[in-house]
Order: sequence, then structure tokens, then C-alpha cells
Amino acid sequence: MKGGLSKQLIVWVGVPAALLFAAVVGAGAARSYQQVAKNAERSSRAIAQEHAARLEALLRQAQKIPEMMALDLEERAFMSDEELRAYMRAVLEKSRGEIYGSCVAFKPYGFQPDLPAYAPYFYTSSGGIAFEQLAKDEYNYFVWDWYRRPRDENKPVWSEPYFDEGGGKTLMITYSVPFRADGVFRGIVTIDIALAELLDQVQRIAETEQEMLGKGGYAFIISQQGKFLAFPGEVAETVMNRTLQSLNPDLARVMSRGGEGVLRTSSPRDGEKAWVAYAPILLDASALPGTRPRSEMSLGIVSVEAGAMDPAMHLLMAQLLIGLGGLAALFAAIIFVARSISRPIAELSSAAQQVAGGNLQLNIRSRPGATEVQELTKAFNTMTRDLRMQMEEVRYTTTLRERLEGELSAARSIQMSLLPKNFPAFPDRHEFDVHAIVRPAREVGGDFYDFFLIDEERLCVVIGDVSGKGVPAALFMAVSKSLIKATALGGHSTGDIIKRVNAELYEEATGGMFVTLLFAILQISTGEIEYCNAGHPPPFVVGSDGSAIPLDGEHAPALAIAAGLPFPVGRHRLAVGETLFFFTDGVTEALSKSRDFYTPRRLQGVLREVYALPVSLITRSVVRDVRAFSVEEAQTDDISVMALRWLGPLGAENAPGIAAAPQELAPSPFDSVILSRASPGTRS
Amino acid sequence: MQIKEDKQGEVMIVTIDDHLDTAAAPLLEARLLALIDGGERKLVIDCAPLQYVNSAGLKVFLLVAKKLENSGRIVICALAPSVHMIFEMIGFTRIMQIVGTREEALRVIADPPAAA
Repeated sequence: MKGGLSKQLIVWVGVPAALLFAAVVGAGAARSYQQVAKNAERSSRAIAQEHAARLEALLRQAQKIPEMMALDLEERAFMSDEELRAYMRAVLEKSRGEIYGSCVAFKPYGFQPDLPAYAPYFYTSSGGIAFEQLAKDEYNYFVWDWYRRPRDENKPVWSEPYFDEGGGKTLMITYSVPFRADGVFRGIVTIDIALAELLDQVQRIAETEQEMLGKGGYAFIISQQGKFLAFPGEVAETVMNRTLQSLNPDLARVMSRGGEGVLRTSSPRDGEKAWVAYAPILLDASALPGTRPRSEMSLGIVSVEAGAMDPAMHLLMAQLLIGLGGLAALFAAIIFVARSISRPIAELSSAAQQVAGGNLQLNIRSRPGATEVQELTKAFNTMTRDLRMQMEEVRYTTTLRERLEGELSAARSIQMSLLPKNFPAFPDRHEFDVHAIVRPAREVGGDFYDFFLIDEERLCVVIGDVSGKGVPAALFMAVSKSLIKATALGGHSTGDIIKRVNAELYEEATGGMFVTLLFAILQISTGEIEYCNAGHPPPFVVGSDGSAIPLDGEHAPALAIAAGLPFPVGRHRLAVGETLFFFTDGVTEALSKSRDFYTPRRLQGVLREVYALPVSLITRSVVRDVRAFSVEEAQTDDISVMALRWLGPLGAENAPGIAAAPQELAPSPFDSVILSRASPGTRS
Repeated sequence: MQIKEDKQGEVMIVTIDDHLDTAAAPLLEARLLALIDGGERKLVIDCAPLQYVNSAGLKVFLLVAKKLENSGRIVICALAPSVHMIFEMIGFTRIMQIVGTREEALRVIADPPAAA
């Protein structure tokens, strides 16, 4: 599922909620529709029955009037015209409002033998009760249904609606009751009910039952033949000319059958969907007790669906509005929550990219919102801070290492800067020649050498090795070297010099540091050497004949290990051309790949090969051989060599067979020859 | 670098490895200083396995000897001839108590310092 958080929430929460809401509203609507339909059917049916019964009672009340009159006429057969008219007026006055008019129509010559027609008619008019004699030339009442049907059928009859031209001049229905004299038909007594009165009735029904029928509900009455007796909202004339049959045949069929029920059909008035409840108005007076009276009329109660549904629709609309409001609120909440989560996450993600890009200074402000998001923000900030701290640590470590390396190189610089490196060192002295090389290890040791003239007659040479590594060793070396030179220049004897230096160094030494050294003073004119070997490997005396013998005389302890120790001094007299070769243990203890030491013996072999070379080449040859022998990376100790050759009081000219000046020979090709000869042959 | 410790009474006997070079020396130094800091005052350093020692290694002996100079005692024993030669050359034989065997070392260290 792709998409942002708000989209996901809307899809998984909002849409289901909307569907659920729609389902609830839909089900509610369907249910309320059913309820409304049921109610409408039930109530309209009840209304129809109730009002049909009421109308029935009303009309039966009216029926009783002519029936009573008929009885009276049969008993008082010889009424005069005046008597009859007074009687009729009295009856009508008594029942005004119930009936519109009343007529007593005699058969031809039925009232008096000389009167071919006699039909007095009283009816309600605006001025009160009006009288009309229906027996007149232009109105032959004998042909009218209201007269003929009860006479022919010999029973009371309700007429179909008609416009009374004879007297009432209005739309009406008439109830006609035949009366007899001595068992022979004599005439008809009628009452008229104006259709206006019926219309009034149905309108009253619609008014009183409006709540039950709903908006647009109405009532109507049809005759047995399907003619409208009362139909609200229609002009009376058109009502009479139209039948229910033509408007709604289904309804017409069930209603004219005289039954009772309800039909879901279209409204006869406007064709809208409606429930029509119908009930018969049973008026057949001649029906025998116990038999079902014939229906003369039928009352229809119309409940228009749209109107009936109105309250339900209102409720539904209210539900819909509330629901839609709720959904809108839900969506707003979803979007708000999604934003409040996704915005910080988006910020975190962009921040993470920035952090990935190297910006560790980033600190994200925590926003109010979901706890998880706040936790995440906190975790992110912690992560960034840790990273930053780690980076700083790395930087610090790096700085430290750089400083350490700086220290190493500082130590190396100290070492190298203190050592005399200009050669030839004494170009104007022909009696001797001296050369030295230091090859420092990566982690500098404390090797040093020095040579200087104490005066015109005496040359001081010294080679030493401070125990330990690094800056402390380099510093101690510097101290040692300076101290030696200063003390030597003070004009003391060899033993005195070393004793004084030892006393000083012992005070200075820390961490178990000590110095081994070989200190020698050459009497330049005689070649006499006075030396002190303070715990140092003895130098080789390399003769002009190619011999190399260790100068293994007196031994003294190393410097700075203890105070007050004796430092015996040894002596040797150099022959002309003889060379003293000094070295530190870095030479003899250099390791080969197979973990073998270089050994003094191998050094001796090399010296025997190169004895005749200038001192600068002797030192270089040895260093080259050591390098060739050892694993270069494994050089853990400084390698220092120094060669001092005495050429006699008159210089090189008096030393046949010995090279005096280094520039006389080309070093490079010569070196390689030496090395190729030296390597295998001297190993034994 | 193998360093064995063996406490006998108030004497701590430390036996060192066969190689005491630039790489091994700091380890031994740290170990011995830790022992001294921990209160050990009588040390016997058994050098029987030791075959090679350079100046960095020698420095450790000197450091420890100086540390215990006034407050304790250190006896070194069982030096191989080549190592003994170096000790002698450096002058350590003059300032340290160096004996032939561990038993001798234990006996010597039990004696009062004046007898050394």
C-alpha cells in the first residue's frame, strides 16, 4: 500500500467509517420506510373504517327521515295540500343541516284524482327554506331515476349524483323511499343530500386526520357505480363527469365491490404513489337483519407516499446531516493526526539525510503530538548526539595519534638535529678522519654519537644508547650528549668526565632510564686512545691489514644506574691507518626474516672486507649490509655506526694502502661490490 | 609474553618469558608496577626462561630495582649465561642482587638487607 499516512488512514479508517455510516443510514431509511408504509396502511385503513362508519351513521340518520315520512303518509292518507306542505316544512326544519331538501312525489293522480302530477319540494336556500312544486310542464319527474328506480324496484334507493334541475338546482344525491296506500304504490318520499355537504365531510376528514395521513392526504367518496360523490380540490361538475374507473381501474374495481382494504396504488387525484384505504358505506335499508347490507357508497382515504414519508424524510435528512458532519469531523481528525505524525517524521527523515550528509550539529525540536513520535525524535537526537560524540572522540583520537606521530617525529628531529652530520667533519685536519651514521627506528630510540675537539691536541668521540624509546629517550639522549660535551670541554680526565656525567644523569634519570656509551679521547699527535666503556658493546679495532678485533679492555657500568660506581678507563694506541669502529646494539641485534640476529661476528666479517675504504664508506657499507640482512619494517631500534681512523701526525700521505679522503673513490659501484662479496661469505 | 606469579609467604615470585624486547617490556613493566602498587615488597624475578633482553627490557629491571630501593627488596635469579653477560656488561650485577637459583633467591630475600 503506497501513499502517505493520511491517505492510508483515510483508506483504512475514513472510508470504512463512511461505508458503515452509509449502511446504517441506508438500513435506517429502509426500516423507517417500511415502518412508515406499515403505519400508513394501518392508520389509513383505520381512518377509512372509522369515517365510513361515521358517514354511514350520518346517512342512515338521513335515511330515517323519508322512511318515517313514508310511514306517516301511509297512515295519514288524506292529507290536504296545506297539511302536507306544513308537515314537510316542519320535517325539514327539524333536520336542517342533515339534509338539503325533501320531496314527496305522488304517482300520476296519486294525490288527488284531479291532479295528474303532484310533487311538493322543500329545500335549503340562502333565505331559509324554499318551496317548489316539481310538478310542472318543463319538468316531468316521472322519468327521473330517483322516482323510477324505487317505484320499479319497490324499495328505497340511493340515486347516483345528478344535477337537480327541477328544484334544488345543485349537485346532489337523493334517497327515495316508496310509500303505498292499501298496498298499492302511491308515490316517493325523497331527501336530498348536496354533494357540497359530502365534500365538506371528506374535507373535514382530511383536516382532522392530516397528522395520520401526512401531507397531501385526502378522502373521497364514490358511488356504487364509481362516480365521485366527493372529491376534494375538484370542481363539482367535472367530478361528476369523471369516474374512478377512468382514473384508477384497479382501485375502482376493489372499491365498487363494496369491500374493505388498502391498496398501494397511485393517487386518483394526481397519480402520485399512495396508499388508498377504502371502506364501504353500507346503506341498503331493505337488507334483512343478519344479511350483509349492500354498499351504496365507498369511502377512500388517500395517504400520499411523499407526504407520509415527510416526517421520516426529515428524520433521515437530520441523520444524514449529522452523519456527514461527523464524517467531515472524522476526516479532519484523520488528516490532523496524520499530519501531526507525518510532519515530524518527514522532518526526521530529511534530518536523517542531513545527518547522513555529515551535519551532526542537527537537533530536532520536539513537537507536541503522538508520544511515539516524540520518543522517535528523542531517540534521533540521542543518536545524533552519540554520533557527534563518537566523531569527536575519533577526531580526538586522531589528533592524539597525530600528536603522537608528531612526538615521534619531534623525537627524531631532536635526535637528528643534535648529531653532527656535516662531513668531512674536520676538513682541515689530516691526522684523522671520522664518519658516523644514525638510522633511526620508526619509534625513535635514544642512540647518539658525537665528536669534537677538546683542544688542538685532543679529539673526543662518543657513541651512546639511551634505554627506552620516544620523546623521553630522545630528551634524555639530548641531556646526556650535552652533558658529556660540556663536561669533556671542562678539561677533566676521562674517568672524571664519566664519573661527573654519571652523577648528573643518575639524578635526572626517571622510569629506569640509563645510558650505555663508549667515550674516547684521541691524542691526535700520538694516536693514543683513552676510553671508557660504560656498558656498551666494545668497538672494533680495524687494522690496515684487514683485521677486526674488539676493543675488549676495561668494562664500566652503564650510566645513570647507580651513583658512586667506579668507571675504569682503558687505553689503546692506534697504529697509523688503524680504524676504530663504534656501533650500538641496534646493529648486532638487527633481526632477519628468520629471526636471526645480525651478530658481532657478521659485523666483523663486513669490516674485514671494507677495512681499506674511506671511513664514510665503511659506515655506509655496514648500514647497507644491516639493511640487506634485516626486515626493514621490523627495525625496532636505532642503528648507529661511527668510524674513526688515525692517519698519523702527518696525514694520509704517510699511510700507504689506506684511503684518506672519501671523494677519491666513487661510492656507489664500490659499495655494491663490497656488499655482494660481503653478504654470503661472512655469514658463517 | 607469559608472566607467571607465585606468592610464597610475603615473597612474590615472578617468572618471565623467554623474550624481553621492546614489545614485551611495557607489559612486564606494567605488571611489576601493579604488583608493587598492590603492596608487594619482596620480589623474586625468575629469569630461567629468559633468552633475550634488550635495553628496553633492562630498563624494566632498573626501574623496579629503583622503586624498591628503599622500601623493599628484589632478587633476580636463574639468568642464562648470555643474559648474565649483558647484566654484567651494563653493570646491573653491581647494583642488583642476582643469584643462581630460585631457592637461593628465596633464601637471600628472607635475610635482612644488610646481609646482601
